Amino acid sequence: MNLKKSLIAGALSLGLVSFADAATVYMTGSTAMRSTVYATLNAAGAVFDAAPTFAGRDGSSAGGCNYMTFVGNIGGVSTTVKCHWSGSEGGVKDVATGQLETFLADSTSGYVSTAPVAAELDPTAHAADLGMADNSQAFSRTTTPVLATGAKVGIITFTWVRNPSTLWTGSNNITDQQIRQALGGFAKLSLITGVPTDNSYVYVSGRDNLSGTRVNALGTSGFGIFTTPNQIELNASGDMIDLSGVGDYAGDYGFSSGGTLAGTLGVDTATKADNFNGGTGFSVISYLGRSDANKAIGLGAIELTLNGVPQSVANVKEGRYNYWGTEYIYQKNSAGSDAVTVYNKLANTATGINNYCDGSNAIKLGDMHATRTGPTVDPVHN
Amino acid sequence: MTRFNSETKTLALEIRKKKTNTMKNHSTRFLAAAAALAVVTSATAATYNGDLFVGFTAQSGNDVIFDLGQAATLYSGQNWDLSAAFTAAGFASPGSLKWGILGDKNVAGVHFAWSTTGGATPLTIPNTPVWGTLDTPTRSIASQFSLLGSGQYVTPLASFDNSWNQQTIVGTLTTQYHNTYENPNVVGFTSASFYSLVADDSAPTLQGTFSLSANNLVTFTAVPEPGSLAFLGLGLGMAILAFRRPSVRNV
Repeated sequence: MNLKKSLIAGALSLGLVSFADAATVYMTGSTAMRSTVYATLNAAGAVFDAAPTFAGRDGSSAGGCNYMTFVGNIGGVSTTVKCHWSGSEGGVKDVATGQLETFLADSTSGYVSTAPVAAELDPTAHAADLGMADNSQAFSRTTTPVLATGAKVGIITFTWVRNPSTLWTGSNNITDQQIRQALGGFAKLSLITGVPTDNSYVYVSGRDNLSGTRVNALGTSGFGIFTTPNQIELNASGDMIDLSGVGDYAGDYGFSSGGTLAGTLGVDTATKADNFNGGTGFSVISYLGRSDANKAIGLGAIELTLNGVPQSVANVKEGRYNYWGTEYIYQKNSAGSDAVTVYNKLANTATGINNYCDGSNAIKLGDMHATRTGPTVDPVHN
Repeated sequence: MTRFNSETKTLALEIRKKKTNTMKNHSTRFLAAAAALAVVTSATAATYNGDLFVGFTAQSGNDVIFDLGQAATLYSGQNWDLSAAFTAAGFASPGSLKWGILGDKNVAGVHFAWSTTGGATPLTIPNTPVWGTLDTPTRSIASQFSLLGSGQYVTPLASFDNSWNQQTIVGTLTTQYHNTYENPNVVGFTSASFYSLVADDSAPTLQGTFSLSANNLVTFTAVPEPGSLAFLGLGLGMAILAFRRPSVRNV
């Protein structure tokens, strides 16, 4: 009997030891880069020894999920990598300051396109070990504490689109000067179309201040990374949303996800009430990662050329098109050994994230012929 | 010569009439602003509420940006003690600081702005889109406050995009305040003229002066309106009469 008890106790303790040894690494940051990170983590041998088990929520595809969990072995050690993509500025802030994020619960399995219900979320929030950022920390809103370990892992591509407002006729091009005025909330459509009677307004519907897509848009246009925009948000019907419930239809607001933003850009707003400047009818421009832009275009949005240059891989590679960012992975200071292991695998230029850049949503570092140090700096040809 | 004098008088009357109308309009709008205040205060702190900011910079180290509250609530003789803010910023000699005041607010579709100058009349604001270009940097300055309200202050590095130094003096972004409007600063222990503007190309209205004193007080002194001057004259007249009447009785 005593022997049986001892065996049970031994087995239990082994189980407990085994549970304690199972490593969990928490990751956050860029929503624009989530599909590339997904491809890297999901590939056999890139990070995990074999293809891991995947669970995902809140995305129109597995690689587009805002919540992801990967379970498998790394170097024979059972490892779970949990991701909550909350925006690259949010990622830098989380990793640098230890701010907590919510992740999927261990018990959540499979892929579901809708947002996780409460029971599918870990009730305990966790500090992120690793963060993906669409620009270096030096050009972010959280420049301190300085993250000691970071690496470039690719080039992330963005583009500008407009909604299918029938008020907008003529050229589908936008310039930095026009973007700056639209970001302020008071750009007349005539400023863009050149038609003097186009007195309706053009607004920017964009991302919140945790987004790297936004940092790059505000930086490359010359608006200023820290300058406060007047952005609107639309509902699915194309109506302006009262953003703070007090008749506040424009301000420093924005969507936390590029995918959600893309879903609002397919409606003609020519007959919708302009609740910010008054009158009827307005147009919307927006900045998105390449894959989210494809989603918006599929819903009716129209891609814009920027300063006369169309977004294409070739134009990004040569530095002709300047709305793109250098993608970084950051590791929190004093990270645990499991997080360091995952970081090293993801940051490996030959076998990590850079290797899984698909040449469209993200471009491999070695394929670029242009370089920039940050979103406020013009690209130069190598 | 007579004709010239007549035309000059007519022009002077026109200007006086315009000024009076402008002042009446502004008074009405100030009342509207005061009425709107109760609604605005319920908004979240992160949203710029139209407060006036006084900013100070030595153009190195830290700046001070201090919330003076709403323009509609200003009264002559009102003052603010900046000692704690100056200490927090580490100002060694406030007498050499560059400082000024700015703010803006949309009150029921009427777009106001306020700015100080060294005495010159500031530029007019022709329309709402132009007002928007100076609202953007003002909201950016406000974004540094976790809480807005009279007496709140922040001390950003003078090199930061939204510092007073960058926004009002040296910043290179086209969206920064001095590039969209004017440099509102004066230097040291002096007075700055304080103007209100409406985004309809109307002439700026001098509301009073702000002064910085050696004891770190910023004080507002209002320009008396014509009505107030009339009342003052009437009061003075009555006082003289009251003084004279007893002396008559004594005779």
